[in-house]
Amino acid sequence: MDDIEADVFPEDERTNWELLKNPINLHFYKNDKGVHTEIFFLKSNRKCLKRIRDAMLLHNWQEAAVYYNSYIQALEARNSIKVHPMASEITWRIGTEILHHLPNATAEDFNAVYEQLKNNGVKNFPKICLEHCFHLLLNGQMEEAKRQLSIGESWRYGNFSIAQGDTKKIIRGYCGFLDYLKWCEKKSSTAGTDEASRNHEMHSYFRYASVTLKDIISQPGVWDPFVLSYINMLEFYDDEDGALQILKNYAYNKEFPTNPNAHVYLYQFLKRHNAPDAKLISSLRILHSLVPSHELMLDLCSLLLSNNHMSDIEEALTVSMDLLEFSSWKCDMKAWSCLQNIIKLLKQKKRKEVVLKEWHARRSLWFSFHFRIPLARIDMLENVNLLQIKSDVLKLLGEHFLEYRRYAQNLKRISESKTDECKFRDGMKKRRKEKIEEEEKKMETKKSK
Amino acid sequence: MDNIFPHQLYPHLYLDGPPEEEAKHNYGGWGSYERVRTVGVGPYDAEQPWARPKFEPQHAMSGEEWLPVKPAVTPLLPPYEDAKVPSVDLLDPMDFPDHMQYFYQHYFMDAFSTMGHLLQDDFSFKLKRPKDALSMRWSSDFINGLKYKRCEYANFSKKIRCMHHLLRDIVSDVPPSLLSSLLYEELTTQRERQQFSAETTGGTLGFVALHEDQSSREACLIYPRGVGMDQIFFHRAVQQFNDDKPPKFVMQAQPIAFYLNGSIRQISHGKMEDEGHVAVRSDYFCGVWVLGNRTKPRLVEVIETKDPFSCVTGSPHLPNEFVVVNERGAAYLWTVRRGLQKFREESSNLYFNAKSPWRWCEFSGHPRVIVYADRTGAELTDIRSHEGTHTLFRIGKTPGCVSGERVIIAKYLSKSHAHHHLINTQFSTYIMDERVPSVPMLKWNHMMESPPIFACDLPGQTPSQTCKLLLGSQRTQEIMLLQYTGGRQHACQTQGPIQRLFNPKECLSQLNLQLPHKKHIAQKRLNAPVTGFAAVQSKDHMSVFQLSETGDVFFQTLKLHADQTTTSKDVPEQVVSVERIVENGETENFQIYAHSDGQSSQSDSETEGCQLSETGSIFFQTSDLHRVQTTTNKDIPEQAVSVERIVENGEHVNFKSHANSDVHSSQSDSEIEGRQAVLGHLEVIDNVDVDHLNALDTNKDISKDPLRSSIGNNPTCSTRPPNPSKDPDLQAAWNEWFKPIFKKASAKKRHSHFRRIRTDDLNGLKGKKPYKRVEDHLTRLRRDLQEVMKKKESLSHGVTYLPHLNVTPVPDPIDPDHWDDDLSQRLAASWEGNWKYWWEEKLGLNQAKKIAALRRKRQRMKQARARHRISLSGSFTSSVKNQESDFGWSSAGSQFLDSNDETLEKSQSTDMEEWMSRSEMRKKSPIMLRRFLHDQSTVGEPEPGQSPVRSPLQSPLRRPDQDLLTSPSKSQSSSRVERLISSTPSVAVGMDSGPRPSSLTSKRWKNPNSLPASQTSTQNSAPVDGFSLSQVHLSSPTQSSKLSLSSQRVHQIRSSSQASQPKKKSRMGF
Repeated sequence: MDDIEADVFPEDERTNWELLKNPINLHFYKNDKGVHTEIFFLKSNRKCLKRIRDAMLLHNWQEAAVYYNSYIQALEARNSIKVHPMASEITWRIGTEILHHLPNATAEDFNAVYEQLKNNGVKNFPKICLEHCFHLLLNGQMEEAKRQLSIGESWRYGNFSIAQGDTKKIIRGYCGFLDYLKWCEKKSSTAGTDEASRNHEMHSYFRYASVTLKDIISQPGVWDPFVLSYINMLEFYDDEDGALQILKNYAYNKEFPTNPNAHVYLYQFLKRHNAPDAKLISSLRILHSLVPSHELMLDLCSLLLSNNHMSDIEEALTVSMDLLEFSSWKCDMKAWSCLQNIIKLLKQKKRKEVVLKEWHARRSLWFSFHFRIPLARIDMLENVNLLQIKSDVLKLLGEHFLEYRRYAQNLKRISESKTDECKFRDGMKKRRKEKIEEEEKKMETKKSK
Repeated sequence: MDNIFPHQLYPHLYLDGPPEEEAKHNYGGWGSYERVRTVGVGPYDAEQPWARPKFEPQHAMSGEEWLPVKPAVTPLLPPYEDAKVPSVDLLDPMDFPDHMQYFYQHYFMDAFSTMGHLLQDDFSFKLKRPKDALSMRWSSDFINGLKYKRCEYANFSKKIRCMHHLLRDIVSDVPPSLLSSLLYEELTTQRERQQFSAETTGGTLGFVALHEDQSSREACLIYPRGVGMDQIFFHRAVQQFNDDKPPKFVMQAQPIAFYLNGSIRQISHGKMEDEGHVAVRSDYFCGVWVLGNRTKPRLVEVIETKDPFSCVTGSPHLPNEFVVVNERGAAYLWTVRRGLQKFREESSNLYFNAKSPWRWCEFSGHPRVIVYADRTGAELTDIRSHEGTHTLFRIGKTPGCVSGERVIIAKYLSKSHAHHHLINTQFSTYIMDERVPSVPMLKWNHMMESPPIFACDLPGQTPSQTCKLLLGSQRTQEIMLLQYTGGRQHACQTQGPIQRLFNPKECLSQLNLQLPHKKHIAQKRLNAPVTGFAAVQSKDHMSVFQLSETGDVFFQTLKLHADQTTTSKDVPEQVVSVERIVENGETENFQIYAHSDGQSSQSDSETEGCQLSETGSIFFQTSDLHRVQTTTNKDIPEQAVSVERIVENGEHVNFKSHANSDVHSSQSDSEIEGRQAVLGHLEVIDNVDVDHLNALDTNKDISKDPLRSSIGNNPTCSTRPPNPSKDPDLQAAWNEWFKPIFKKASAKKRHSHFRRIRTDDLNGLKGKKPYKRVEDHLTRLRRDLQEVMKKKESLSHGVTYLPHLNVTPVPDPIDPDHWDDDLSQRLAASWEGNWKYWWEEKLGLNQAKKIAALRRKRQRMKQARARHRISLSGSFTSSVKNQESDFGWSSAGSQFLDSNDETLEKSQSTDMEEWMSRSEMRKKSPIMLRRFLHDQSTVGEPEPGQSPVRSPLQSPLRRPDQDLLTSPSKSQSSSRVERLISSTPSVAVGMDSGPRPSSLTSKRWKNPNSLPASQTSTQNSAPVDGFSLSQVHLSSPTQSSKLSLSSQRVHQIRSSSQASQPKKKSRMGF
């Protein structure tokens, strides 16, 4: 604990004491000698913890650090070996959080805190190992992180280690992932050298990674980075069937949660390997049934349209209309133009009744959702093209919602004749553009920092 | 671009089954990265040169820094004076007798009327009573007295008691036993509701933006007031922006009020366009009002239900759509003016039986898909088809729930992300994406003390900004600020640790000291539970409004803290704005207060400007504003005095602060600065003296100088402006706010609970003059005392004018011998410190010792006599003893013994006879024995003591320090041995000597019988026997010096055995 104290407060002891003595009226330090009763200890400790908590919630990190310093001292005064695992977890969480917000905390401080608290409450060992590993990864120390992970993985402590099974799984997953990153590094570094030696080192990493990754991927869950990395390796070794198997399992296994990305990965894989359109369409159809608002629905539409089957075009109409019902697609030009194209296509093919059938089912919703007058007013100010295309779609659908369409028509006339209005609009646009640029600049500066 | 789904999600385990983990602690929101993933490294760019992957945590450690502009919340509206202030404490169900008493006293017609009518004929309180009625006039006095608190025993009336026994079962309409059990139940449920009431979920404060302009924004604040919270107020507010200053809220003078038929539980507003709809939920009614920029709010439609409504939510997509759910589980889509459409009904909870009728509905990314939630989870329901339901969230292992976790509120975060939903439980906050059901995109441990039943989301104003989530709780008044980003190209990330905003409860610690009773009133008022909150963000400022159960609205403003450069501009400006308000504040209406500096006088802007830069430089060079300014200021001493005065008598606090502000207005700017600095000091004193209200005050103390000075050297903390300390603006606003409350409280007549007794007559008894003289004396005495104390002398009684003291004569000394009863003797003994000894004697525990001592004495005397006779042999033996200690004793000893045999026996026998003859006496009063022994010793001792022969016997082997210790025991043991040896021949000779040992032992065995049993244990008696044996063994070679040696050892052992005895005794409870 002494190390931690030193870490949190690099100043010398004396100043710490001064800080403690003057402002804080903790009873605990009034009497310097002798052991206090258990209840007294608990009371003061609880009070101290509450102070830490309040300070942290109000983001007074320095103050929290002072309290934390005395808190761990108090814990140490009472035989810290016996500290309840819960208390040790609290100590760990609070300690690392405070350390994150202290300006002069160094990497050694973090290491010391993690190491100390790992062994303090044995129960949390793997959890803290994992967090320590993350901390190291974020600071670019991959080798050390890997070491921490393997320490956490090999940890056994009776029933506790069984209870920590979920954490163990995650640890294994990250182990494999780090092996994969190593594999990537080896692959790129030895790109020019001769085949045999390159294969040897790389292959060992591949073996490490594939075993653990395959294991973790077979468990139900969301494993996007792990799946991607495993597929990448399999593709490198030309095991396409295996990769497909993995992706199919990841997307279609009933025990797994519905994850749009699983379908996306499968679709992308199929696309990469030049799978026939039918396969692509079927994979996207399943995605449509799960997530009708996914951006790949536009791909689905274009795929269906390219088929030129009547049923497919009808399906594309439904898909695109479904898509537009989501508020996230409401103002999307691509989706509207897609719908416009489909309707035009169907009209060309003299299948207007299909369009009208679909339209009548949605008419009331669409009128209030898309073709409200206030919306038109807003669109006129913000996105003229959208208003235009919406009005065109309305015309194609055979609706004579004149009031709405008048906006668009007025707009046309205005854009042709009146330049003042345009100026005003241009000004608006300009301002918006400037705003965006400013934002980008800000982001860049942030990143560079 | 909400339609983009993140390309990679953070790894997450998917587990089926109910949660198993127990809720452990409330600190889970800190210190964890949760998960990390790589960014920038695409999986397929294998051929590109290797770059170290960058990682990104799910819980990022730093977010935007939002700092409060003022140190506490500020009241927005004047207080609602007729508000019912709820009690701070929780109800105790065991208080039901008090409630019953109240009911019987104040609602006696309800309590007793039926039986009263029936008994009317038999009892009468009237003077002229009918013939067969019993007069009850005697009880009227008793009944009148019931109004007062009084002593039950003093007012005991036998008649009343009899009457009570006779009639108590029948006289009340509701049997007391039944009433009490019902009351108890009711109080229990009320207590539970006090702790957490689900019906106000969602909150009753609405802040609807009506119209936006470049420099201001018109909004409507909607809040309920009234005793039963049954009036709804539509209050227009104009939010004014002035460059970098915190926005000001100008409240319209007259709010529009509607009176409702029930208390308002929730206010929800839908999409705002030219006009917008606001739904108000009460238990059995839901009403919709139309709001517009140019129109007055008006009621459009009301729906009624048999089962209480538990939720109403406005649609973010369409302006006139709402969903309502009632507690039976039926959910309706309510299109205003077009009626209701029922789309779902659940008789039970969704995933398991949570025994809760609470239901909730929210819209989702699709206008026809609605989230249907209860305590166990949330489902997405498609209105158009009845099959289309799937899980959005479910209490279980997958989101990492703990057992007992329940959904408290769900919210569609339409403004932040079109597909995101907020699910709050009492422990955690989840962000769910409706495209990935069941797996939370984000999870926080929100660390709130009571469950968050209000939630509010503020979207990031630009893509780079974080989305803000605000969670509010009811009883503890907490508001937590959570930040996150992502959900589009990148997976969701939390940004920075959770921050708690200020609550009304804490504000007293930031204000000046109030008188205790005023403080109590203020505290009670401010502790009222929160019933809703709203937040609005504009550029770099965020304003949060809180509505309390008393109908009071408070607000606080936070500022985004970006860089050092921006803050160096901002903070002094804040100080300046404070001054302006003080200047104008005296003349302007309170409502205009908050915004007064918006239109404030332009004339002094120049001076302000230059002063601004001045203070700014001071501030940021040292980061210790208060210190620097106090050292440079001139009028500190005067201020310090005023501070002291305030602390001494808190009465002047209000007055004082007003005076201060007056002074402000008349003084120049630079002096005002000084005052502010001193006010900062005043805060310190206040804190020390006054506020134990909450833990925060000491925090503030800590954040004072020592810490600041320590922080001074580290870089980032100096960039962060210190917490704003007390400012006079805030104080003035609060003073204004408290005024009507205090006024009302003081106007209230104090109800005295005690019967008054006239004491005027008693006052008349005392003459004025003597009283005055006494006073005179006392003042004089006081003065004298002070003088004397100054000189450090003593004040004698004679100098003072105090009445003469009676000299009490010292009583005659008491001779304990006059009191010869047992108790007196014992007391006398214990007074001398011989209590233990006395008891030993009384019980005969030291009989053996005494007998031995007696014998020794005799022997010594005899020895002395013998030496007188044969002085030569005596001298010889003594010399022998010195030279040869181990052998050659026998002859001399035997000789010596032989010669003494007769006399010894004789003297012994006479002594013992005397002893035995006194046995009865001995039994009766041990003190007599003691006295006897004492006599003996005094009689016997001088002889050997005076004899010169005795010294050779002692001197050679004894150390001087042993003298005191061993002298009695040595003599005792030696005499004893002598006796044993001598007794062997005399067994047959004299009957006197024979039974002596036996009598001794029998005595020892008898005595324990009178004591508790444990002393009879052999352990105790065995060593005694052992000693005697060893003594026998040792004694066979008879030589005095040898004896003395052995006896020494024996004594040591014995003393050790004796030492153990007191323990035994104490254990036996003497």
